[in-house]
Amino acid sequence: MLIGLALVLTPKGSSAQQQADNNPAPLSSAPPATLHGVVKNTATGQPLPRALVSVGGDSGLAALTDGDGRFEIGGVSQGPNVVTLTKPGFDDGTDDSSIMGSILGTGSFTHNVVVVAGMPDVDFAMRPSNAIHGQIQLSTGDPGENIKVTLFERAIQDGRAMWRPRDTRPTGADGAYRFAGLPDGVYAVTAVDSELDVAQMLTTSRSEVDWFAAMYYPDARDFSSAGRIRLAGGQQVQANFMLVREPFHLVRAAVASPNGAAVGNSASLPKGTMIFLTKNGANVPLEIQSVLSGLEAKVTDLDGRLLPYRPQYDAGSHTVRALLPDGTYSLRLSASRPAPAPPGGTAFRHNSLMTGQGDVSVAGHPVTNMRIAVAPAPSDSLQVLVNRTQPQPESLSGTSDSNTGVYISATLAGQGVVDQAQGEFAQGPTQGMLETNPLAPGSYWLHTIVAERGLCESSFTAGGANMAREPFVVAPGGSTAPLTLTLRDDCASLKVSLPGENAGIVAGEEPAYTVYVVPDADLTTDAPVATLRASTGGVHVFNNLTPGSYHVYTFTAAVNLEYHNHDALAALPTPGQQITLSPGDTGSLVVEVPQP
Amino acid sequence: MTNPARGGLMLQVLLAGAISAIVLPPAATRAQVPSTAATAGYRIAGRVVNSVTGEAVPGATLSAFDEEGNQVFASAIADQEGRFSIDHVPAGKYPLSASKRGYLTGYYDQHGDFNSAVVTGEGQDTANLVFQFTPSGVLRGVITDDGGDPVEGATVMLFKRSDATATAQHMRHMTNAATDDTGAYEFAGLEPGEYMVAVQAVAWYAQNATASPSAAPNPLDVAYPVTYFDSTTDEGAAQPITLDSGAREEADIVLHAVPALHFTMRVPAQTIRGDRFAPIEMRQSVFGNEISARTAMRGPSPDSPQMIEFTGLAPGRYELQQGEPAHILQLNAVTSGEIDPTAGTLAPPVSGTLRTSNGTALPDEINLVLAPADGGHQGVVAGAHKGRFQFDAVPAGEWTLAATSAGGAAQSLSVVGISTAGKETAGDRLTVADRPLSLVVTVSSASTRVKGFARTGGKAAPGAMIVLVPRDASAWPSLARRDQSDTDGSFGLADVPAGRYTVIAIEDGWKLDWQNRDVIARYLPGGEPVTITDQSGAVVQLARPVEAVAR
Repeated sequence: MLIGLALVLTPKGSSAQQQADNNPAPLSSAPPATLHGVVKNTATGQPLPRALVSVGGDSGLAALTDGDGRFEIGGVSQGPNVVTLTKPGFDDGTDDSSIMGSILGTGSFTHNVVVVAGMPDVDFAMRPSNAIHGQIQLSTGDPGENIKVTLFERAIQDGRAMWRPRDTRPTGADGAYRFAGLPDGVYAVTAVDSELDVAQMLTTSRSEVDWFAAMYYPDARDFSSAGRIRLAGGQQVQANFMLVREPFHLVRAAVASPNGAAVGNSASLPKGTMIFLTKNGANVPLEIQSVLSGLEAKVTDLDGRLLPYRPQYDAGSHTVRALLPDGTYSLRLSASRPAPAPPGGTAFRHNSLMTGQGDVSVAGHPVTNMRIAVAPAPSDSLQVLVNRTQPQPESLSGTSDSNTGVYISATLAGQGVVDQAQGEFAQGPTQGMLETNPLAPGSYWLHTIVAERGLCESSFTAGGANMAREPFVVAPGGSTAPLTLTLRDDCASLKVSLPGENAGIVAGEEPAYTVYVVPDADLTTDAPVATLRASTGGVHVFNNLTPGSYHVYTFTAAVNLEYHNHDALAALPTPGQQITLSPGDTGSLVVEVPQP
Repeated sequence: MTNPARGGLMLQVLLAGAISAIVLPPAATRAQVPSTAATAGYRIAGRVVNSVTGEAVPGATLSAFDEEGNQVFASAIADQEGRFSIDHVPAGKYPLSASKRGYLTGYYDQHGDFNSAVVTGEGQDTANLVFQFTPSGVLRGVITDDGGDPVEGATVMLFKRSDATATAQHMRHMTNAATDDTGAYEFAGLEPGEYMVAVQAVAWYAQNATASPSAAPNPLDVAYPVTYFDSTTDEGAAQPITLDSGAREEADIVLHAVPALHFTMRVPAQTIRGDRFAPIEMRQSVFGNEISARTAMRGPSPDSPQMIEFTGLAPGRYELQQGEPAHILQLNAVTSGEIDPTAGTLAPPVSGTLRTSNGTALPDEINLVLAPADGGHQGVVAGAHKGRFQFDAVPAGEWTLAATSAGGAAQSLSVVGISTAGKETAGDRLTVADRPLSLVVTVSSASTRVKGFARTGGKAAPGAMIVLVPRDASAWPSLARRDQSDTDGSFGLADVPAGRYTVIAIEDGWKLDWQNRDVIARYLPGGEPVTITDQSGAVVQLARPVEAVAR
């Protein structure tokens, strides 16, 4: 990395560093000891030469392993030390890829090594990272230069598996691409020609142009039929595919105003026209012209997955135009801006959202007679209830404390690719009606955080649907079922501890355990997780647990568990420990530590 | 005419490698071709051929821009025989570009920043154009360390020898590329020419923290010196790589780690502003281009509040700029040691005011560039706000000052005089010694455009190099202007300040060292004189055509 020396350093920041370097605080006054051992490759079990083992941070205490994978570092202070392993093409082996859906928990685990004089070998292992590489060919025979290739990874977020883009890069002069440093997992690849200048084509009134349609490896037109590439143990997988040149046709849609009248030209709805929407009884003025001029258009498949064809919205003629190959698409329009404060009222925190959608089939001809109506997306109300078993504590009554309340986010659901960042859906006090941010039509997983001591989730429903089991559906036009989040105040606690034989501090690398407490009943709140180590007491207390039965899973590595997937839980190497927590109880459990 | 996308800029974008697509200015929305086009009957048509092989190039996108070059008027795609046709074009001037994967996006008959716009109208043959299209080259290679392992994340720097005819020969820093996990790098979309490659990298295992003085040397405290093709750390021994049109060349480089040096420096108290230091920069020169050195700066600490340390530095020559006013120290780093902050030469500030020759108002925001007169040093830039400017640190030497108005349409403001301590000198030259300078800079804000036609033997002379030569030798080359004649022989020379000039037209003149006045002087007898005054107005049309002479 290039270090710019024009950086200004503050003496304050660097003094802390200096102190850490010069005055390591040893737990004992014993003389420095020597740390030695072997680093191995987890995939082959073979010793790993030229791996860097370093102790502490920037102390310079480091060594490369020799040809037999051996290292020896002198001058290490006795007591606990943090050891890091580095080698290009390898990841530190502290995650456990034998667990379905696991990914490396970034920074969650470190090698804590208790160093004593005359200690035996301390052995480590590194996991080879994987790579996907390939060649994009063009049906014209031209070199596939500067094709945009995107890698998708299957990842676990909030206990659910989803696909998300990991990286995008252009091909080189001969069409080659490469994604390296990939952890074990499942991937998919797509390529799209970045060179079609739609704006230019549209500017010059073309209604048809030959270009390359986006493809998924291997030669699939959509994500659901795309190949899944499974990587493990340092694989280098080649994924070549071809982009085929074919006609793209003009699709043009007139955008209609909220009251249904076509906005053919700006004269039909003079600039500055105000319309009033009723929002919780308050009139919210929206300057329609300015909202429409900020319109954003997207092309998706009929399931709402974003496609890489960028349409253009022309504010002058109120038309959306796109060039698309044969196929069936959905044109989605949205515009948002912060809503102004209603006269005399308090400011709305929420954005106003205008949406519109039209489906179109392209089959060998331009489509120019579309009309898409854009209307304000209705915002929903969400009722938060608390089933109280005891009077509300005095100190927490009212809504003044900004650090307590519920936070609810929404993530686009489905087996498709997540192309939308998790958005805030609602936020507010733990009792009453909350106004939600409007969502574009689609299916969403709702995720809840209850930030108030003593409260936990009882249920979260939309109509009769359980939001932990089914996604929240926003129909075209914005209609939804009424949402109710029910909390309770008779929450339970669970104290987990390491068994006695694992709780003592011994010389060498200290084991660390990941403990998940997964409710048998589905909840939209996170399944709590903690790391247990002997040096930090080997105990953790989980509070604010919804009463009911739980399964407790313990792992010897950092694991990102797909706990909303019952099949994934059933496939775990151990069935988990079952425990039932009664309302208001504090349970305790000595975890069963997996044998290495 | 001048390339619409301000040629040089576009070239740089293309050479950055990421984009080989046509680079267009933001497209304004145009609902349709103006209705006159439907009735007007001119065509821009012809063939696209590979400039190396002469073979037809199918599938290229041809775009006709409007005269200002702001937007695409119309475009067409060449067929299997390389033929293209843009129909229903009204009479006018259209810069014509072509783009296709594997070729250098460029304009019709392009020469550097200039091209011949296609002029349609009565009697103009614009339907039989031959567009010479040049395939782009690729330079790639693999960077490994002396253990044979690939070096990931190395910065590979690409340099190109300036046009072989230019007076000041130098290697221009074009762009950088980063190596991937296999150590591979690639520069695509390259023009033919002579290139140099240099690599800057940090060993992935390097441990450059300061060891206590008593500790044994850390074998992992290493650095890679800047290394040139073919694996030498001596700039003079670097091997040039000649790249032909459309060629693919490989340049692998092996890096050799050496023990890193440590330098301490006691920072003078006056350079600490509040709790911050004045900027400290460690630079090194690669083919005359200054780049930031690879080093980490540590300190100060509470124990030694004014001591800083440079770590991880490979042995070599560096330039350290520090302090206020700035000191520039040439450091030949062979062994670790302490740097004397008072050593080196002072790079004094150069400040001043701007005025126009005719007393008219100046734009509020103006960009200024001080370029070394000998071309061997990096330029210094400053912005002028409401006519006042300051260059913070200018090393001693001979400089030329150039000004352009900032904002939307950058207009060049010719520097016609610089006065220091009440003494005015004509031209744009400036000498900086070890003392701060206060200047009054006179710029010409003229926006006169000189238009004319180049002819030869009574016929239009397209593609000729047009040079506006100032009579006053001291104004050469700052007041000189160039253009390329369009397909009807017409040309326009922009931003011409008041003065007496001769306009010359040279056929196939693009290989001439035009910046050398002696080379150009040969053509003056056949030129057309023109005098521009502050009252000349926006356009001066030459009364007679300029006779284009053979090179």
